[in-house]
Amino acid sequence: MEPKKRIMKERGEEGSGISIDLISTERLEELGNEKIRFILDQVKKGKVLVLEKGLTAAEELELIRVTMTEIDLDSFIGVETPGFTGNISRRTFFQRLLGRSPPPRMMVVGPAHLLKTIKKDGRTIEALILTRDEVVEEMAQGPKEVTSSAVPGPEEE
Amino acid sequence: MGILNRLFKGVISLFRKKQLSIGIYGPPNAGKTTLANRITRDWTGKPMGKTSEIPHETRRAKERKEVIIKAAGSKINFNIIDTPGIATKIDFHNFVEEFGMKEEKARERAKQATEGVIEAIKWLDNVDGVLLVMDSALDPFNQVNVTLIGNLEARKLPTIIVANKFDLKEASPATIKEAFPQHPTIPISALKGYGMDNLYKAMVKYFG
Ligand SMILES: Nc1nc2c(ncn2[C@@H]2O[C@H](COP(=O)(O)OP(=O)(O)O)[C@@H](O)[C@H]2O)c(=O)[nH]1
Ligand SMILES: [Mg+2]
Repeated sequence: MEPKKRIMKERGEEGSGISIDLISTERLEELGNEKIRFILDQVKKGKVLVLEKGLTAAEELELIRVTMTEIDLDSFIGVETPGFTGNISRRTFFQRLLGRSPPPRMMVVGPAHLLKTIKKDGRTIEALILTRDEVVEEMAQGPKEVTSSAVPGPEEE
Repeated sequence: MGILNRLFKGVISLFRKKQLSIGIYGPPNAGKTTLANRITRDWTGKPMGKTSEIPHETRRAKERKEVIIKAAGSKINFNIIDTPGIATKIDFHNFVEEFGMKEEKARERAKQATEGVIEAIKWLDNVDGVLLVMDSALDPFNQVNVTLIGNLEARKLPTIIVANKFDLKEASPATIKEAFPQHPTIPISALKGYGMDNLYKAMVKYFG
Protein backbone atom coordinates (compact mmCIF):
# COMPACT_ATOMS: atom_id res chain seq x y z
CA MET A 1 0.00 0.00 0.00
CA GLU A 2 1.19 3.48 -0.77
CA PRO A 3 2.26 5.56 2.25
CA LYS A 4 -0.26 8.29 1.53
CA LYS A 5 -3.16 5.89 1.59
CA ARG A 6 -1.92 4.42 4.80
CA ILE A 7 -1.68 7.80 6.42
CA MET A 8 -5.26 8.64 5.57
CA LYS A 9 -6.46 5.32 6.88
CA GLU A 10 -4.57 5.60 10.10
CA ARG A 11 -5.97 9.03 10.67
CA GLY A 12 -9.44 7.62 10.12
CA GLU A 13 -10.37 10.51 7.88
CA GLU A 14 -13.23 10.03 5.57
CA GLY A 15 -15.51 11.91 3.27
CA SER A 16 -14.55 13.24 -0.05
CA GLY A 17 -12.94 16.32 -1.35
CA ILE A 18 -10.21 18.54 -0.16
CA SER A 19 -10.74 22.04 1.00
CA ILE A 20 -8.87 24.62 -0.99
CA ASP A 21 -8.66 27.98 0.74
CA LEU A 22 -7.76 31.08 -1.18
CA ILE A 23 -6.01 33.45 1.17
CA SER A 24 -5.94 37.09 0.21
CA THR A 25 -2.94 39.34 0.62
CA GLU A 26 -4.93 41.35 3.19
CA ARG A 27 -5.58 38.28 5.32
CA LEU A 28 -1.93 37.26 5.18
CA GLU A 29 -0.74 40.71 6.12
CA GLU A 30 -3.23 40.84 8.97
CA LEU A 31 -1.67 37.62 10.31
CA GLY A 32 1.76 39.25 10.63
CA ASN A 33 4.01 37.08 12.78
CA GLU A 34 1.36 34.40 12.97
CA LYS A 35 1.52 33.72 9.25
CA ILE A 36 3.63 30.56 9.43
CA ARG A 37 1.63 29.23 12.40
CA PHE A 38 -1.65 29.83 10.57
CA ILE A 39 -0.43 28.15 7.38
CA LEU A 40 0.87 25.09 9.19
CA ASP A 41 -2.28 24.71 11.28
CA GLN A 42 -4.43 24.74 8.16
CA VAL A 43 -2.14 22.38 6.25
CA LYS A 44 -2.06 19.96 9.16
CA LYS A 45 -5.86 19.87 8.98
CA GLY A 46 -5.45 18.58 5.42
CA LYS A 47 -6.22 21.83 3.63
CA VAL A 48 -4.56 23.17 0.54
CA LEU A 49 -3.98 26.92 0.66
CA VAL A 50 -3.57 29.21 -2.30
CA LEU A 51 -1.75 32.32 -1.16
CA GLU A 52 -2.40 35.39 -3.27
CA LYS A 53 0.94 36.71 -2.19
CA GLY A 54 3.31 33.91 -1.38
CA LEU A 55 5.97 33.74 1.27
CA THR A 56 9.33 35.42 1.01
CA ALA A 57 12.30 33.07 0.74
CA ALA A 58 13.09 33.68 4.42
CA GLU A 59 9.51 32.91 5.46
CA GLU A 60 9.53 29.79 3.37
CA LEU A 61 12.70 28.56 5.01
CA GLU A 62 11.07 29.26 8.36
CA LEU A 63 8.05 27.25 7.22
CA ILE A 64 10.38 24.35 6.38
CA ARG A 65 12.13 24.66 9.74
CA VAL A 66 8.91 24.68 11.76
CA THR A 67 7.50 21.86 9.62
CA MET A 68 10.52 19.75 10.55
CA THR A 69 9.83 20.27 14.25
CA GLU A 70 6.22 19.17 13.77
CA ILE A 71 6.55 16.21 11.45
CA ASP A 72 4.82 13.21 12.89
CA LEU A 73 5.91 10.16 10.99
CA ASP A 74 2.41 8.74 10.78
CA SER A 75 0.11 11.70 10.37
CA PHE A 76 2.09 14.64 9.00
CA ILE A 77 5.01 14.04 6.67
CA GLY A 78 5.60 17.63 5.68
CA VAL A 79 4.56 20.29 3.23
CA GLU A 80 4.54 20.77 -0.49
CA THR A 81 4.88 24.37 -1.59
CA PRO A 82 4.69 24.89 -5.34
CA GLY A 83 4.94 28.57 -6.06
CA PHE A 84 6.80 31.33 -7.75
CA THR A 85 9.35 32.38 -5.18
CA GLY A 86 10.63 35.82 -6.01
CA ASN A 87 13.86 35.47 -7.85
CA ILE A 88 16.48 38.14 -7.73
CA SER A 89 17.15 38.05 -11.46
CA ARG A 90 13.56 39.20 -11.95
CA ARG A 91 14.02 42.39 -9.96
CA THR A 92 13.57 45.66 -11.72
CA PHE A 93 16.58 47.80 -12.36
CA PHE A 94 15.78 50.05 -9.38
CA GLN A 95 15.16 47.16 -7.02
CA ARG A 96 18.50 45.76 -8.05
CA LEU A 97 20.12 49.11 -7.55
CA LEU A 98 18.66 49.40 -4.06
CA GLY A 99 19.44 45.81 -3.21
CA ARG A 100 15.74 45.12 -2.59
CA SER A 101 14.36 41.63 -2.47
CA PRO A 102 11.80 40.82 -5.11
CA PRO A 103 8.18 40.72 -3.89
CA PRO A 104 6.78 37.30 -3.00
CA ARG A 105 4.53 35.73 -5.59
CA MET A 106 1.59 33.39 -5.80
CA MET A 107 2.08 30.14 -3.91
CA VAL A 108 0.21 26.98 -3.02
CA VAL A 109 0.87 25.21 0.28
CA GLY A 110 -0.51 21.81 1.14
CA PRO A 111 0.19 18.65 3.10
CA ALA A 112 2.82 16.56 1.30
CA HIS A 113 0.67 13.42 1.36
CA LEU A 114 -2.08 15.13 -0.62
CA LEU A 115 -0.33 17.63 -2.83
CA LYS A 116 2.30 16.73 -5.35
CA THR A 117 4.22 19.09 -7.61
CA ILE A 118 4.53 17.45 -10.98
CA LYS A 119 6.33 19.91 -13.12
CA LYS A 120 7.73 23.34 -12.69
CA ASP A 121 9.44 25.80 -14.86
CA GLY A 122 9.78 29.52 -14.27
CA ARG A 123 6.30 30.21 -15.66
CA THR A 124 3.96 27.29 -15.13
CA ILE A 125 3.55 24.89 -12.25
CA GLU A 126 1.64 21.67 -12.50
CA ALA A 127 0.48 20.05 -9.29
CA LEU A 128 -1.75 17.15 -8.39
CA ILE A 129 -4.17 17.13 -5.52
CA LEU A 130 -5.08 13.63 -4.43
CA THR A 131 -8.63 13.66 -3.16
CA ARG A 132 -9.34 11.92 0.10
CA ASP A 133 -11.43 9.25 -1.56
CA GLU A 134 -8.69 8.52 -3.99
CA VAL A 135 -6.09 8.43 -1.28
CA VAL A 136 -8.17 6.09 0.83
CA GLU A 137 -9.61 3.89 -1.88
CA GLU A 138 -6.63 2.81 -3.91
CA MET A 139 -7.01 5.75 -6.25
CA ALA A 140 -9.43 3.86 -8.48
CA GLN A 141 -9.78 6.61 -11.04
CA GLY A 142 -6.35 8.10 -10.75
CA PRO A 143 -5.52 11.48 -9.31
CA LYS A 144 -7.26 14.66 -10.40
CA GLU A 145 -5.15 17.10 -12.20
CA VAL A 146 -4.88 20.70 -11.17
CA THR A 147 -2.81 23.06 -13.18
CA SER A 148 -2.04 26.50 -12.00
CA SER A 149 -0.24 28.89 -14.19
CA ALA A 150 0.71 32.46 -13.86
CA VAL A 151 2.29 35.11 -15.92
CA PRO A 152 4.83 37.23 -14.08
CA GLY A 153 2.79 40.22 -12.98
CA PRO A 154 3.88 43.81 -12.85
CA GLU A 155 6.60 44.16 -10.30
CA GLU A 156 6.13 46.41 -7.34
CA GLU A 157 8.53 49.20 -6.68
CA MET B 1 48.72 48.00 29.24
CA GLY B 2 45.20 46.90 28.37
CA ILE B 3 45.04 49.35 25.52
CA LEU B 4 48.45 48.34 24.18
CA ASN B 5 47.47 44.72 24.44
CA ARG B 6 44.28 45.27 22.51
CA LEU B 7 46.11 47.27 19.90
CA PHE B 8 48.64 44.49 19.54
CA LYS B 9 45.93 41.86 19.14
CA GLY B 10 44.17 44.05 16.61
CA VAL B 11 47.31 44.33 14.51
CA ILE B 12 47.91 40.58 14.70
CA SER B 13 44.36 39.81 13.56
CA LEU B 14 44.85 42.11 10.60
CA PHE B 15 47.62 39.89 9.39
CA ARG B 16 46.19 36.55 10.31
CA LYS B 17 44.47 34.94 7.36
CA LYS B 18 40.80 34.51 8.10
CA GLN B 19 39.34 31.08 7.67
CA LEU B 20 36.42 31.08 5.29
CA SER B 21 33.53 28.84 6.26
CA ILE B 22 31.89 27.34 3.22
CA GLY B 23 28.64 25.42 3.62
CA ILE B 24 27.81 22.65 1.19
CA TYR B 25 24.04 22.87 0.75
CA GLY B 26 21.33 21.32 -1.34
CA PRO B 27 18.51 18.80 -1.41
CA PRO B 28 19.09 15.21 -0.23
CA ASN B 29 21.11 13.01 -2.59
CA ALA B 30 22.52 15.82 -4.72
CA GLY B 31 26.02 14.58 -3.90
CA LYS B 32 26.99 17.00 -1.13
CA THR B 33 28.98 14.51 0.91
CA THR B 34 30.58 13.01 -2.19
CA LEU B 35 31.73 16.55 -3.04
CA ALA B 36 32.88 17.26 0.53
CA ASN B 37 34.91 14.04 0.42
CA ARG B 38 36.37 14.91 -2.96
CA ILE B 39 37.48 18.35 -1.73
CA THR B 40 38.92 17.17 1.58
CA ARG B 41 40.61 14.17 -0.05
CA ASP B 42 42.21 16.43 -2.65
CA TRP B 43 43.55 18.94 -0.11
CA THR B 44 43.92 17.12 3.21
CA GLY B 45 44.18 13.51 2.10
CA LYS B 46 41.19 12.43 4.17
CA PRO B 47 37.48 12.15 3.27
CA MET B 48 34.90 13.49 5.71
CA GLY B 49 31.68 11.49 5.66
CA LYS B 50 29.62 8.55 4.54
CA THR B 51 27.66 8.71 1.30
CA SER B 52 24.67 6.64 0.27
CA GLU B 53 22.13 6.23 -2.48
CA ILE B 54 19.50 6.34 0.28
CA PRO B 55 18.45 9.94 0.97
CA HIS B 56 19.28 11.57 4.31
CA GLU B 57 22.49 9.67 4.92
CA THR B 58 24.02 12.82 6.43
CA ARG B 59 21.92 13.79 9.42
CA ARG B 60 24.39 15.93 11.32
CA ALA B 61 26.45 18.78 9.89
CA LYS B 62 30.16 18.02 9.75
CA GLU B 63 32.95 20.53 9.72
CA ARG B 64 36.49 20.09 8.44
CA LYS B 65 38.90 22.89 9.25
CA GLU B 66 42.15 23.89 7.58
CA VAL B 67 41.30 22.82 4.07
CA ILE B 68 43.86 24.90 2.22
CA ILE B 69 43.02 25.20 -1.44
CA LYS B 70 45.51 26.48 -3.96
CA ALA B 71 44.21 27.54 -7.35
CA ALA B 72 44.73 30.28 -9.90
CA GLY B 73 47.79 31.55 -8.05
CA SER B 74 45.94 32.02 -4.71
CA LYS B 75 45.84 30.04 -1.52
CA ILE B 76 42.82 30.10 0.78
CA ASN B 77 42.16 28.45 4.10
CA PHE B 78 38.61 27.03 4.13
CA ASN B 79 36.39 25.40 6.74
CA ILE B 80 34.25 22.99 4.79
CA ILE B 81 30.84 22.24 6.28
CA ASP B 82 28.92 19.30 4.86
CA THR B 83 25.26 19.77 5.76
CA PRO B 84 22.27 17.41 5.82
CA GLY B 85 19.99 17.70 2.79
CA ILE B 86 17.13 20.17 3.09
CA ALA B 87 13.66 18.83 2.35
CA THR B 88 10.09 20.04 2.86
CA LYS B 89 8.83 16.55 3.65
CA ILE B 90 10.23 13.32 5.04
CA ASP B 91 8.38 10.05 4.67
CA PHE B 92 9.90 7.03 6.38
CA HIS B 93 7.85 4.70 4.18
CA ASN B 94 10.15 5.58 1.28
CA PHE B 95 13.12 4.07 3.08
CA VAL B 96 11.15 0.89 3.67
CA GLU B 97 9.50 0.60 0.29
CA GLU B 98 12.30 1.80 -1.96
CA PHE B 99 15.33 0.60 -0.07
CA GLY B 100 14.01 -2.32 1.96
CA MET B 101 14.94 -0.79 5.27
CA LYS B 102 13.44 -2.20 8.46
CA GLU B 103 10.59 -0.04 9.73
CA GLU B 104 12.21 0.78 13.04
CA LYS B 105 15.41 1.88 11.37
CA ALA B 106 13.49 3.87 8.79
CA ARG B 107 11.57 5.71 11.49
CA GLU B 108 14.77 6.52 13.34
CA ARG B 109 16.37 7.76 10.11
CA ALA B 110 13.36 9.97 9.30
CA LYS B 111 13.32 11.47 12.79
CA GLN B 112 17.03 12.24 12.62
CA ALA B 113 16.58 13.64 9.13
CA THR B 114 14.09 16.24 10.41
CA GLU B 115 16.68 17.32 12.98
CA GLY B 116 19.32 17.41 10.27
CA VAL B 117 17.28 19.85 8.19
CA ILE B 118 16.95 22.15 11.20
CA GLU B 119 20.68 21.96 11.83
CA ALA B 120 21.50 22.73 8.19
CA ILE B 121 19.26 25.81 8.31
CA LYS B 122 20.90 26.95 11.55
CA TRP B 123 24.36 26.69 9.98
CA LEU B 124 23.38 29.32 7.42
CA ASP B 125 24.06 31.92 10.12
CA ASN B 126 27.68 30.76 10.38
CA VAL B 127 28.91 30.44 6.82
CA ASP B 128 30.72 32.95 4.64
CA GLY B 129 29.79 31.34 1.35
CA VAL B 130 27.85 28.41 -0.07
CA LEU B 131 28.41 25.65 -2.56
CA LEU B 132 24.84 24.88 -3.62
CA VAL B 133 24.85 21.35 -5.01
CA MET B 134 22.23 20.33 -7.54
CA ASP B 135 21.76 17.06 -9.39
CA SER B 136 22.06 18.20 -12.99
CA ALA B 137 19.97 15.28 -14.19
CA LEU B 138 16.95 16.64 -12.27
CA ASP B 139 14.62 19.62 -12.65
CA PRO B 140 16.47 22.61 -11.13
CA PHE B 141 13.23 24.40 -10.16
CA ASN B 142 12.60 22.23 -7.14
CA GLN B 143 11.34 24.20 -4.18
CA VAL B 144 14.41 23.53 -2.03
CA ASN B 145 16.77 24.97 -4.65
CA VAL B 146 14.58 28.00 -5.22
CA THR B 147 14.08 28.67 -1.51
CA LEU B 148 17.75 28.23 -0.75
CA ILE B 149 18.81 30.59 -3.52
CA GLY B 150 16.34 33.20 -2.30
CA ASN B 151 17.75 32.96 1.21
CA LEU B 152 21.36 33.04 0.10
CA GLU B 153 20.61 36.16 -1.94
CA ALA B 154 18.73 37.82 0.91
CA ARG B 155 21.73 37.14 3.17
CA LYS B 156 24.13 38.29 0.47
CA LEU B 157 26.14 35.07 0.79
CA PRO B 158 28.45 34.42 -2.15
CA THR B 159 27.13 31.32 -3.87
CA ILE B 160 28.50 28.92 -6.43
CA ILE B 161 26.03 26.51 -7.97
CA VAL B 162 27.60 23.11 -8.37
CA ALA B 163 25.91 21.24 -11.24
CA ASN B 164 26.83 17.77 -10.01
CA LYS B 165 26.48 14.34 -11.63
CA PHE B 166 27.71 15.73 -14.92
CA ASP B 167 28.80 12.16 -15.75
CA LEU B 168 25.18 11.01 -16.13
CA LYS B 169 23.94 11.07 -19.67
CA GLU B 170 20.72 12.90 -18.71
CA ALA B 171 22.77 15.64 -17.07
CA SER B 172 22.03 19.15 -18.27
CA PRO B 173 24.05 21.83 -16.46
CA ALA B 174 22.81 24.30 -19.11
CA THR B 175 19.27 23.96 -17.69
CA ILE B 176 20.59 24.97 -14.26
CA LYS B 177 22.49 27.90 -15.74
CA GLU B 178 19.33 29.11 -17.46
CA ALA B 179 17.27 28.73 -14.31
CA PHE B 180 19.68 30.70 -12.12
CA PRO B 181 21.72 32.93 -14.42
CA GLN B 182 22.66 35.27 -11.58
CA HIS B 183 25.18 32.82 -10.06
CA PRO B 184 28.25 31.07 -11.42
CA THR B 185 27.42 27.47 -12.27
CA ILE B 186 30.21 24.89 -12.42
CA PRO B 187 29.47 21.47 -13.94
CA ILE B 188 31.28 18.68 -12.09
CA SER B 189 31.11 15.04 -11.27
CA ALA B 190 31.99 14.71 -7.59
CA LEU B 191 31.98 10.96 -8.06
CA LYS B 192 34.39 10.84 -10.99
CA GLY B 193 36.28 14.01 -10.24
CA TYR B 194 35.45 15.81 -13.47
CA GLY B 195 35.49 19.60 -13.39
CA MET B 196 37.12 19.91 -9.97
CA ASP B 197 39.86 22.26 -11.17
CA ASN B 198 37.23 24.67 -12.44
CA LEU B 199 35.44 24.46 -9.13
CA TYR B 200 38.60 25.20 -7.13
CA LYS B 201 39.34 28.19 -9.36
CA ALA B 202 35.79 29.45 -8.86
CA MET B 203 36.01 28.96 -5.08
CA VAL B 204 39.19 31.01 -4.89
CA LYS B 205 37.71 33.66 -7.15
CA TYR B 206 34.25 34.05 -5.60
CA PHE B 207 34.92 33.26 -1.95
CA GLY B 208 38.44 34.66 -1.61
N1 LIG C 1 26.62 9.48 -11.10
C1 LIG C 1 26.97 10.22 -10.06
N2 LIG C 1 26.53 9.90 -8.83
C2 LIG C 1 26.91 10.69 -7.80
C3 LIG C 1 27.73 11.84 -7.97
N3 LIG C 1 27.91 12.40 -6.77
C4 LIG C 1 27.22 11.65 -5.88
N4 LIG C 1 26.63 10.60 -6.49
C5 LIG C 1 25.81 9.55 -5.87
O1 LIG C 1 24.63 10.11 -5.36
C6 LIG C 1 24.24 9.46 -4.15
C7 LIG C 1 24.11 10.49 -3.04
O2 LIG C 1 25.39 11.00 -2.75
P1 LIG C 1 25.69 11.73 -1.38
O3 LIG C 1 27.04 12.35 -1.50
O4 LIG C 1 25.47 10.80 -0.22
O5 LIG C 1 24.55 12.85 -1.42
P2 LIG C 1 24.12 13.93 -0.30
O6 LIG C 1 22.88 13.41 0.32
O7 LIG C 1 23.88 15.18 -1.07
O8 LIG C 1 25.26 14.06 0.67
C8 LIG C 1 25.31 8.41 -3.88
O9 LIG C 1 24.85 7.18 -4.35
C9 LIG C 1 26.49 8.93 -4.67
O10 LIG C 1 27.38 7.90 -5.07
C10 LIG C 1 28.17 12.14 -9.30
O11 LIG C 1 28.90 13.09 -9.56
N5 LIG C 1 27.76 11.29 -10.30
MG1 LIG D 1 25.31 13.83 2.67
